[in-house]
Amino acid sequence: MATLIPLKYPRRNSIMIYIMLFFTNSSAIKFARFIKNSDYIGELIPLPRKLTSSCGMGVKFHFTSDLSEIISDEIEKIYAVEGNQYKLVYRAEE
Amino acid sequence: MDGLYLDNAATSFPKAPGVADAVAGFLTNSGCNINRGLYTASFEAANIVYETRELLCSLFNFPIPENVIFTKNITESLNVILKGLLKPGDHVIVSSMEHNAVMRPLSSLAEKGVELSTVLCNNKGELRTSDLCLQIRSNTKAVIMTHASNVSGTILPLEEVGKLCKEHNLFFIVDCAQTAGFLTLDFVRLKADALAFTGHKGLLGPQGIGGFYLNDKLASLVEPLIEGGTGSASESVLQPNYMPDRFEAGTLNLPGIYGLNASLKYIIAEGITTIREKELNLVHRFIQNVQTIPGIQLIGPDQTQDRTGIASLNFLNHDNAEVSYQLFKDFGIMTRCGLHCAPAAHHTLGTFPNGTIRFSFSHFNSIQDVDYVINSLRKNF
Repeated sequence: MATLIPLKYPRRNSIMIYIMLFFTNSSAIKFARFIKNSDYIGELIPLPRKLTSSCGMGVKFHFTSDLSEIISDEIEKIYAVEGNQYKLVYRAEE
Repeated sequence: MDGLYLDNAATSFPKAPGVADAVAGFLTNSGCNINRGLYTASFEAANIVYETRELLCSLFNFPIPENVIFTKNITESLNVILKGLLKPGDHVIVSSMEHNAVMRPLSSLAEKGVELSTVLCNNKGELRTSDLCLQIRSNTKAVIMTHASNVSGTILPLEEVGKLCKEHNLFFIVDCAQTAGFLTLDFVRLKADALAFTGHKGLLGPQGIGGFYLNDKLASLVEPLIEGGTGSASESVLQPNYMPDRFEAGTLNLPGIYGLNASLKYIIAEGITTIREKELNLVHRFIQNVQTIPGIQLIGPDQTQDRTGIASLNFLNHDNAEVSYQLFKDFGIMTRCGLHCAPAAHHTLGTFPNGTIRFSFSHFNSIQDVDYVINSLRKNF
């Protein structure tokens, strides 16, 4: 399992949309459950092919807080969705 | 079902309230796979599967939900663990009360060079841990033990065995086929490394769903018996090494998991202690009365506190199979006669090859049910 890089994100007040990739499907399911039980909107999605070669699942979600609040060692990558572009904002250290 | 079903140690009936509805509801309204396509229904199914792992963690005090693996039953679970762990030259220890779900895989492994020792229990099926100590060798890798006998209901001292295993650095693998849903089972307290369970007996779920739990060390040491699609890491032709995917190739028994989910919620709400007290109350009344009938020998411990909810009888003046048949034909009482897939246990109890008639109660039975059986026995045998 990769080690964590603690990242400092600027606190955002606007809603951002992210796609989170996990090392395992179980982690994706767990995170989707967390989002479902929170005030945020989100769901499991089949990961866009350009983000991964695996046919895994990820979670697309809306978030306003600091991402560092939800970083765990189960997360492989986080992309910010900006229009039709995906911008890598976090990746676990190899 | 017409008649009085007393074969709950084989498979429980009735199932917990809500089980049939949960299975039918999944098949009727959803019915889709998990970890493959992603649509709302598939997420709901994935959610129920994960929740069922959590419910099992809650019931057995397993630390990590992902380390709960689903199989079709405890026999498969034990095969995966034993055949995936043991190599020629390894030595393992079992009790003399084991079921064939343990003895047959181990006997086949013994032909390939795994060494097997058996700790002899007394004629009530009770084990002394000091006897187990004597069997430990330099190449001993694991102790595999049933929590309670499926023949006599004798409960084995697993906490002591677990402690001993830790002291000697042995893996401790628990078979809780007869105690899940009846005794409070605490994986951490037992100091177990693996625990195999089935869903369709005391857990009151449907047939075809069981599982096991491995701690992280065994999760990496046990090699998977079944490999294939997991819906994850699909760019690779190699089986993923993370849990639960490492041991869950192929489509899971989702209707079974929905049923087990419902039965676990029932058991947790009802409480293991309540269920156990109800069952023990019935078996206690049964034992007290049956011991006053001449010609009937009760097998196993005298104290009900040392038993599960089953009682095995040997009819001294009749053929056990004929009694079992007559109980059903004339009184509608369904029992299990014979060797109960546990020849080693019957040898230990002194009931081989005649076998016994096993009456196994459920907490859904009533005092009236017990009295009906006693009256039937008293009148006819």
